[in-house]
Amino acid sequence: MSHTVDSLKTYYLIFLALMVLTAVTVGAAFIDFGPLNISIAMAIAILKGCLVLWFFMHVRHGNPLLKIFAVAGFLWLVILVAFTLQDYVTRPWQDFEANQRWIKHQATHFEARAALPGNASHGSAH
Amino acid sequence: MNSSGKKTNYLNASHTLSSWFLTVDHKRIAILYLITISIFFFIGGLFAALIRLELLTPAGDLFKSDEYNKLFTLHGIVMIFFFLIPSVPAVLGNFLIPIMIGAKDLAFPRINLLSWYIYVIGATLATLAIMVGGVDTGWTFYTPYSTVYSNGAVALTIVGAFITGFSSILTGLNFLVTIHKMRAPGMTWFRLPLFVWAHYATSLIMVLATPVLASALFLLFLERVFHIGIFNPALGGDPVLFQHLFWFYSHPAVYIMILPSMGVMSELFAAFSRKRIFGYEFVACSSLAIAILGFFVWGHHMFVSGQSMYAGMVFSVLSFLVAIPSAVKAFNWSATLYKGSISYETPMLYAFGFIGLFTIGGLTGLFLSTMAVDVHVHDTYFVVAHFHYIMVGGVLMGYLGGLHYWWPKITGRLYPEAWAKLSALLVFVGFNLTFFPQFLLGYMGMPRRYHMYPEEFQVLNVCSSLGASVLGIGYFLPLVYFLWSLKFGKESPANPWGAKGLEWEIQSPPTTHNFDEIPVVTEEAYAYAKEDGKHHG
Repeated sequence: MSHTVDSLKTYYLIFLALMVLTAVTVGAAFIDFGPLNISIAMAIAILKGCLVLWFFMHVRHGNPLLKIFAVAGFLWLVILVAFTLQDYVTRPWQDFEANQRWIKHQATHFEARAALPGNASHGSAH
Repeated sequence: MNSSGKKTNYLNASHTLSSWFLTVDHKRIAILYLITISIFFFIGGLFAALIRLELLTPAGDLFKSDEYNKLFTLHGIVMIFFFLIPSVPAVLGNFLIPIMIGAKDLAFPRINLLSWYIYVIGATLATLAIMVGGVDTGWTFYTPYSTVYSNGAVALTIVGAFITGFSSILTGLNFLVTIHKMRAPGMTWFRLPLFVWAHYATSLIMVLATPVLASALFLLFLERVFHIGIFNPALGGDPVLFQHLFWFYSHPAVYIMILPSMGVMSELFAAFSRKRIFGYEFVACSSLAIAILGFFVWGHHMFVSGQSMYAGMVFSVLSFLVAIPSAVKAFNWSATLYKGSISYETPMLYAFGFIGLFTIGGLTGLFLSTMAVDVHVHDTYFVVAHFHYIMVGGVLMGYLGGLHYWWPKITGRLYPEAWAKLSALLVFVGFNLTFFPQFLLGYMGMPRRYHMYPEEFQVLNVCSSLGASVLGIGYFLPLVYFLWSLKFGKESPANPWGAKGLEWEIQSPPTTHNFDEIPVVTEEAYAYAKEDGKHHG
């Protein structure tokens, strides 16, 4: 494999881009996009991840085999997220409120436990 | 030749402690693994013996509920994380992959040593956790019990398992790069021994799945120690999310265990029937198919966990698909026997045992991936029996078969064949006597993870405990005669089985660098000549 070296300028530019994108993430967190909140945050995060992979981790200079493995990593993340989501998006959420009430009720012994001395942090986290 | 007049090999090349503990020779690292995982095997076995002793009677005679919970948890954690997952890859894979592909070592010898140290550190932490209070969550660490209610040393155990995972990732990475980059001239992909194909598929799972377990355990740690709500509903989390993340690793982990053993099987069936494996390409690709399909089925562990009905159906259908490449292997091994010149040495006995036990384990897996049946037998002894048939019946038969087959290569000594045959027989009989009754117990409704049970279940439980004693002897015998053979066993020639493969073309035990000159491969794997078959056994 060739060992092409990028110029320092490239690295600084990418670093700058990552910082800007971080600022955008923080900024976006203050605006309510409704259901898009997560999608926007994830999109920025994926873009940042790609920049790191492509430039800092030198995938763009890698041979095809290396690129296949890099893509495979992403693909497997998609499998994890997609097949987990197929559960969440098809759950009977119309019962969500009732379920939450039931869970809270069931969890009362947890709260009782959290109230015990020495478990103060349980209570505060709750 | 060294000073004692014996040929220099990797074992007698140097004798200092540092030459072992700082070695970068893949064969010595394999020996280090062999010793450490054997220790953990017998620790895990001790827990199993205590479990079976307790279950001899319906009353809780020996242990209280709490102690019993810890007992089966520790049995599971030790056996899965510290024995089964590293077993075949870290010992036989480490030793054989470079030799089988005609290389002098793995691609990253130092990382190979590092992975052993990481394994030892992780395993030591988990052992420490056992000593400072144990864990009672089951090896699955289900939330919110593990994050809120359990009083055991959960955090320490998790750190141990988390660290050990990196050992697995590094081993997988090492194998992948080695198989891609270090094959000898002429060793094309479809000339690779099927053992190597199986390890390639295994390594993919190790690299792609293990980080998800690390993440899940890390999140669990955060919730338990810092009370950050991720899985606990009272903190706004979702316990089923943990199960998704956990099984995304832990189901493929079953294939991390079984695929290398399947690789061993291919070698054994070829060597002891003097034939090329029937449908070599299909068997090779079925390893990859199992590795990939194995990532799409994890939800079958969660049919009764509150997962949606739709997700359950999808996971159920996909789970059935894994049966196809598994059956391709079993049928092709059987077809390999056809008109082969079969001989019944110990490794082959283990191979036959594997086929029987794996088939029962695999087919009962189909029962469990059928949603309606699973609701009935979920969390019963039916499940316990099923996964022991795969993970012990399958994996351990492969591991022991492989250990017997390559023992002469690894140590340069022959083991006593009669004793070995006896032990293979004891293992097969003992195993079935232990676990077949558990299918019946589970089907009749005996739940797993309880130390007391109704009296009508006692006869089958006594059978099971009796079988466990036979199995225990079967496992203990190899320990004795393998150690015996190191000193008293006959010296082995380079190729005691008359088998094909680069590992049989070099001396036993091999030299430190395996090959004086990198070999040039000119023939297919398992190129047993027709005449060879006719004259043999």
